[in-house]
Amino acid sequence: MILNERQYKISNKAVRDFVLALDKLLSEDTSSPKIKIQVQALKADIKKLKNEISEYEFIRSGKLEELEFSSLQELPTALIRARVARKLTQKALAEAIGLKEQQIQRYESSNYSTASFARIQQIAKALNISVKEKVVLNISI
Amino acid sequence: MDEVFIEELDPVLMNYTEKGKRKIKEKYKGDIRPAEFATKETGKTYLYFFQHDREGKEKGVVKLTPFKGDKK
Repeated sequence: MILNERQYKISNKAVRDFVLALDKLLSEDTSSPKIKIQVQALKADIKKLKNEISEYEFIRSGKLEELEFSSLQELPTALIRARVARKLTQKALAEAIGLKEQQIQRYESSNYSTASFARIQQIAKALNISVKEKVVLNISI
Repeated sequence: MDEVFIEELDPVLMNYTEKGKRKIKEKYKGDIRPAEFATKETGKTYLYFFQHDREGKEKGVVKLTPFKGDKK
């Protein structure tokens, strides 16, 4: 998942480099199994990067009103997407709650695994989001 | 890497679709890509890609050079 403009630019550059490498490969003997698997690997990586780029562009466009998530594990991703949708940089979010930019970078790159519950509430407040998820008591534990 | 005998590689290493990469990661505990089999271009591209994190900072990678060892 792309977290900021810097990563967005780097991902775009990677796509350009991969496409160039792919073009070069396709001009060689594509019937060779060695070429075939390289082509396959490059195509899959290009596709994955392009998906991440489109997702980031869509979230950043501000067209998103709601972020759905079906488990607590997905909450960190929703927080990151909400920040991008709010057009807040990691630095801006950090400043809004009196932290250093690096702290938000660490939280986001580790999917908020080291953040306390109080911190997560503080971030949700700074992003002005509300969470309406139901807690379901499953039949067995 | 002309000396690589591709037909002797583990078949798991022959599929680089998303599904194939998941299997590789499961078995070898890391990301693996085919590089420099025939052209230097893919190798260079992947080397640069893996030697930098998403922030563009340099990071270390391990290069594996497969060879036919003596069977004992």
